[in-house]
Amino acid sequence: MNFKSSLIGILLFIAACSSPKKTVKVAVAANMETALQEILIGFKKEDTSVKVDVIASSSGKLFAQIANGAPFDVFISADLEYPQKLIKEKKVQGKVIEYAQGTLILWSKKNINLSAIYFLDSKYEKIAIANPETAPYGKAAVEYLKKTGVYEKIKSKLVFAESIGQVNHFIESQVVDFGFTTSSVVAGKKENWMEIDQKYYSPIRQGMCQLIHSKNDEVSVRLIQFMQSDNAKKILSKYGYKIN
Amino acid sequence: MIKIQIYKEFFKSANQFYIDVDFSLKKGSFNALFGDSGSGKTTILNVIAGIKYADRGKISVLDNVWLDTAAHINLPINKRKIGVVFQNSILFPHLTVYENLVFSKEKNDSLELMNELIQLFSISDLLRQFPENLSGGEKQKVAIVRSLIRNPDLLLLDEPFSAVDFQQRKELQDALLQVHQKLKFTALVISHDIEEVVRLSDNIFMLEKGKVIKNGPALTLFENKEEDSTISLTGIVVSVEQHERNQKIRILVGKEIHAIEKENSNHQIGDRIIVEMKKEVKF
Amino acid sequence: MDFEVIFLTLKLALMTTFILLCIGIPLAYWLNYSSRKWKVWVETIVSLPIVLPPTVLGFYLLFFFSPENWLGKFLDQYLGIRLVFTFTGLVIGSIIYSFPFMIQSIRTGFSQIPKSYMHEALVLGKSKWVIIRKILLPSMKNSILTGCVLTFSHTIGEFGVILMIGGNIPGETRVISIALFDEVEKLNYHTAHMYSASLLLVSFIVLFIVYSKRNNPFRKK
Repeated sequence: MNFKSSLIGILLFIAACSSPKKTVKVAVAANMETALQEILIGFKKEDTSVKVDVIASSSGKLFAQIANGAPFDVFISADLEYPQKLIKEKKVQGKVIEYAQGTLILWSKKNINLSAIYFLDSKYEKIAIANPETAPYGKAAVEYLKKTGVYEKIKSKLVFAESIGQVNHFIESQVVDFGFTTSSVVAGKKENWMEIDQKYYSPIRQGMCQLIHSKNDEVSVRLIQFMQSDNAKKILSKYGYKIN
Repeated sequence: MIKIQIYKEFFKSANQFYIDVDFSLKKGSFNALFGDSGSGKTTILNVIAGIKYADRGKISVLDNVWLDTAAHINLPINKRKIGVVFQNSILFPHLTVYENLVFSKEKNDSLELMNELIQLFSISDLLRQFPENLSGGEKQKVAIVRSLIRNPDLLLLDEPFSAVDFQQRKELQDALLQVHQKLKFTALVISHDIEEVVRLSDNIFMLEKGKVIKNGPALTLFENKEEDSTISLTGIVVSVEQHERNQKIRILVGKEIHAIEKENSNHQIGDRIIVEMKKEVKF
Repeated sequence: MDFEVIFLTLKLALMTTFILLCIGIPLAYWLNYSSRKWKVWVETIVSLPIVLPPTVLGFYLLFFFSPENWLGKFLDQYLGIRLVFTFTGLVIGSIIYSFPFMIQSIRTGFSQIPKSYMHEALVLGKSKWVIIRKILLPSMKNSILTGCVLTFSHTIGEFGVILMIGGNIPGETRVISIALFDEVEKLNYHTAHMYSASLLLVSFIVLFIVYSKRNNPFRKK
């Protein structure tokens, strides 16, 4: 009895020392992080007392965390499947809303002519893509490679990153020759990139939803609405997303 | 009365030995356990202290039972009112001498006793030192004081002065005797040094191969092989009266003074002499 | 650079070290002096986190403490405690992750003290707790220091476990190792360098203190 009660005592002591913040926690797919930060500037102007914590990772990882009780209020995914799976897990408040369509691009920091690229050329040793199991952009990239018939032959050159964020890092630090990523990372910058023709991959339809952890507080509701405002749509277009 | 009964089997370098002893100590007496190395003396001490177990046995000290295997009584070491001076006593190195002594003292123990012991063993100028700066003899002095602060029912000493040089040994023995006179604790010293044993003890237990083969006061114990009932004892000359070439010498043997006359001798005070005496002769 | 991240990391490391010290001393004492037959089971379990990959540990912690499963649900419903994606959960994870470092260091300390110290002190009539407090612990300051230092630095560098059960929540579970990873993915290399350098600096300072104390142990002169 003595041991058990001191164990519980220790747990409560630790819990008391941690300080949970009453802010809106947004779980966002890595590809949307930069765009979201810009959208939030406008959102916070509407009510300066609001604090927003942004946690970015691959959609699949975020899904797993939310399914296991992660304390997020809003989930902005890179696809529709993960939010819909969360409805099945009874974690969603309301509906899944499609807010944009993603654009797949090739990006390189090396002096490569991306428009005339021949994947099978042996001078390209490493190609970065996001893990197709957990990142919708990775899935799209694999689709493209299969449709163009090169997937089997270049499989060994592929470097799987755990999120779009890591893909970008690999490309930026030039540990790979080039990679498949989202348009938002190069938007408005003078970079060496090329858009992949839409016909080669199914549309990356990106959806968001409010989570039950938010207990339907008005800030989360407002955020979802704000994401669909004209202001937000303008910013999303700027980053290369397609709006309906 | 302190009653000690121990039966223990043990192994030492692949040989099996056993201890089978049954003896008693009178309260306030100074006793010795005497025997060669390997006779089991240290093991007996360890069992009395509670550091080792006995296979069978009973140890009662005054009115307290420390050990009774039949009744499953085994008082833990720290509950026995005992003092122990090991052969190489450990004074805690991170404490000063004074702190070592104070560590021993409990609230109810007498402060006067502690100060008296410090005086008796003349260690007052060592109090601020750390043990690493003390000589072997000084360390043993502190160890004895430390063990007596609690006024134990029984004081055990395991070859307490064997690692000390000869001159210091004598001083330490004197101090120990003096303290014993004053405090009248019951003591049991282990030694393989005959002289030391004779000097210190009222009663000697001779141990051989784990059994007490003889016991008694010093004078009755050491006998010649011949049946003529004379004893050889070593004593120290304390006074000399010279008559021409003969001397009347008074010798300290154990705790008693014996006077003898010797012809053609020129002993001096401090000499050691082996004295042959008839068993029943008393001075 | 976000100072909240550093503060959170230090808070985690200090709490873990302190709690492990409190649990560690009695457990290490028992492991060193006990002769029970089932001690070997305890020794094995205590040492497990050393050989277990952090992600495995994190995975099992996520599994057991998830509010979807019975233990997590129980803790959540009856005690209001969540151990995934919370600071509390990180502390628990860190304690388990660094357990063997503290326990084994302190146990070594106990084992290096000669048995005669114990005997001398017991014969003087002292209780085990007094002996531990006044004689044993002061004689093993180096081991205790080593245990604390190892636990502290191990916790600061923790990544795999926290990645699994943390959720990278600012102010709650975004510790320096996670933030570093995050910044790299966001291509904020400058901030990443800042975090890395401070981690390296802290590790260096900590080791430096340990080694300088080793050669000049605590001593009253």
